[in-house]
Amino acid sequence: MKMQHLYDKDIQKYTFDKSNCSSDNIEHINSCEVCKKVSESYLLLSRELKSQPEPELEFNLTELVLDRLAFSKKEPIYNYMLCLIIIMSLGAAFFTIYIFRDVFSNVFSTNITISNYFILSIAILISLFLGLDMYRSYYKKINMLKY
Amino acid sequence: MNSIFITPAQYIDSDFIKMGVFIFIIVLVMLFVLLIIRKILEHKLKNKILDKGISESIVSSILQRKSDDHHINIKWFAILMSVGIGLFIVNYTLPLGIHSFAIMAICISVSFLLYFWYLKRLGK
Repeated sequence: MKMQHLYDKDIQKYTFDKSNCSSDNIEHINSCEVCKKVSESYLLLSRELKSQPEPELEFNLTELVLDRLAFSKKEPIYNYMLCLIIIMSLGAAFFTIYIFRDVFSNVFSTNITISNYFILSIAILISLFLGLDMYRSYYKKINMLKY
Repeated sequence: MNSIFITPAQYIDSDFIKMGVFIFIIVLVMLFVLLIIRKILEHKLKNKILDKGISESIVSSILQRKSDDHHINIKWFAILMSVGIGLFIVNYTLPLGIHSFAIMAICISVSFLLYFWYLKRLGK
């Protein structure tokens, strides 16, 4: 009768996780010289590997990586640029109104009637509609970022 | 204000032109304000995307305008329809008064509600 030796994974289980090894396998390894030798060689290999020192790089990796990272220093300047552009746009708009103030005063020279307020109220309502829709779309996109 | 209806022998009433210019100026100012608000919101969104460091595919799906473009037609349909219906009803309740404002507010708010109900149905 030819003895059936255990597979490597069973021998490894015996070597490193004896508590979960089946009793048949334990009995076989205890009685079989070949499997016992394989188990001992696994144990020796594991000990040797653990005794090896941790690899150390000759250069400072942290420094090299940090040097490569381009930290954006432009961010606060960009925010100020945006505010500046908005202020300049408003300034340009008011300047235009000031230059053409005679034209505007001519347009509004008649008494402001209820029809003017009516048009203004329609424009405000539509702007509210559009503004709320814009904010809803923005809020939806911000929520997408959270997930 | 003189008669709105123009007879062939008359020029276009100056009050009518003034009203047109007034509407144009109001529209310009409102569009300018809305554009500023939109740019500010977009800037905030992009800043948040950069801070989070999200993958490119997700960023492109968030920033794509295609999803918004589908609704723009329906949105403007709702706005113009509500304004048209409101003005039509106001025409039968002349002269202009507080009730005219109320009619317009109700019409625009109903269209607002229908538009968002439509978006909600589409979202499902």
